[in-house]
Amino acid sequence: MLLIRCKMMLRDFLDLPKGARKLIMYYAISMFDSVGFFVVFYMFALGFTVITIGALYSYLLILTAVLELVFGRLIDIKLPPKYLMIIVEILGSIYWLMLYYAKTLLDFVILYSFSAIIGIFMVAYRPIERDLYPQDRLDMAYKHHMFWPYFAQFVLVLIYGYILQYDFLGVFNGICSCHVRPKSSLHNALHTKNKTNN
Amino acid sequence: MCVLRALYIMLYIPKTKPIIRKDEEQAMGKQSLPRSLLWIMSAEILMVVAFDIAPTFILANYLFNIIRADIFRISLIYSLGGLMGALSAMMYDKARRISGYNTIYISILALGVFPLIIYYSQYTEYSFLIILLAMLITYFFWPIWWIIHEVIIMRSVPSNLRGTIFGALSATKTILVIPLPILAALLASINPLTPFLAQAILFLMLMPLYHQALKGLQ
Repeated sequence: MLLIRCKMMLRDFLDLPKGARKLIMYYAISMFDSVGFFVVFYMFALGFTVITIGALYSYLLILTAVLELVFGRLIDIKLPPKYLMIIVEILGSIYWLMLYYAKTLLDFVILYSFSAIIGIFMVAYRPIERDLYPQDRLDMAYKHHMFWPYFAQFVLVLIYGYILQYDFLGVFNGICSCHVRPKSSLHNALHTKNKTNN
Repeated sequence: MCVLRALYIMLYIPKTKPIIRKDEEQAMGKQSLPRSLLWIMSAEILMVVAFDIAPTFILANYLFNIIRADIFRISLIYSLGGLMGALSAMMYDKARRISGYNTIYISILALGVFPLIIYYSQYTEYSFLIILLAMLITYFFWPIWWIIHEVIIMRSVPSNLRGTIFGALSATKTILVIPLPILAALLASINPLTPFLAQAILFLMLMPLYHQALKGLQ
C-alpha cells in the first residue's frame, strides 16, 4: 500500500513542469539547514535565558519589516526572484560562519541582525512559486512542496540529533562550519565526534 | 551547503520575468483585490500571530531547561515530525477527495488542540511523550492546512502584483509579531507553557476567517 503511494507520489512529481520540480528539489536540499532547529538549544547551552532570547527575536523582527515591502515591490517591477534567492544563500553561508564564532550576547545581537537582513530577501520565495507552479495543478505542486522537504527533514534531523548527542557544543560548531566549507568542516564535525567517543 | 545551493539556483532555477509593464503599472492604481484574498491574507496573518505567541524557543526552553530532555530525544520530535509531514502530504489527495477544501477546518481544529495538549503535559509524568504526540499531530495537520491555504492564496493573487502582495503580507506579519517573542518570554516566566494557552485560542479564531475566504471563492 505504502509502496503504491510512493510510486504515485513519484509519478505525480514527474508530471510537474521542470521549473516547479527544480524549485521543490531546492526546498528539499535546503533542509540541510534543519540543524537550525538546534540554534536555540545551542544558545541555552551557552547560558542565555529565555527572556534574552525573546528580546533578540523581537529585535530581529523590527529590522526585517520595512524592507520586505520594498523588495516585494521590486520583484514586480524589475527584480527576478531568482537573484534574491541567490543572495539568500550567499548571505546564508556568512550566517553559518558567524554562528560558528558566536559566543557572547553581542555576537548573537550581530547574528540576529544579519539574520534579519537575510529574511528581507526571503520575500522572493512565494512570488517564484507563483511563477513556476502550474496554476491548474497547484494542489499537486504544493503536495510535493511539502512532501520532499519534510522527508528530508525526517532523515537529516535524525542524523543531526544522533551526531549532536555526543558533544553538543563541539559538534554543533562543526556542522555550522560545514554549511560554509563542506569538505573540511564535515571532517571537523566527525573528528569532534570521534574524539569524544575516544 | 549554502554555496552549493547558490550554484544550484544559478544553474537550475529559471529566471522568471517580471510581468508588470508600464501601461499596467499606470492601471494598477485602479485595480482592486478580490475580497476572498483579503480574508485569506487576514487568516494567514492571524495564523502567524498564533504561532509566534508561542515561538519555538518556548518549547525548546521547556524541553531543554525544564524537563532536561537530551538532544537526541529532542531531534526525534523534529525528525518524526518530518515523517508525519511527508505522510500527511502523501495522504492529502485522499483527504481532499473526501471533504474538499473543508479539510482545512479539521486541520485548524487539530492545530488548536495541540497547544492544549502541550500545556497539559506539564501536569503528567510522561511530559516528553505527550509533547511528542502533540507535535506529531501538528506536523500531520500543518501541511494539509498549508497546501489548501497556498492553493487558495495563489489562485487569488494577481500575477502582476505577486511581489507587492506577498511583500506587503510579509511586512504586515513581521510588524504585528514584533512584540510577541518578548511577550511569550514574559508569559513563560510565569509558567513555561502559558503561551500555548493563548495559541490555542488564536488558532480557533481562524475558523470564521477561512469560512469567509472559502465562501468568497465559491
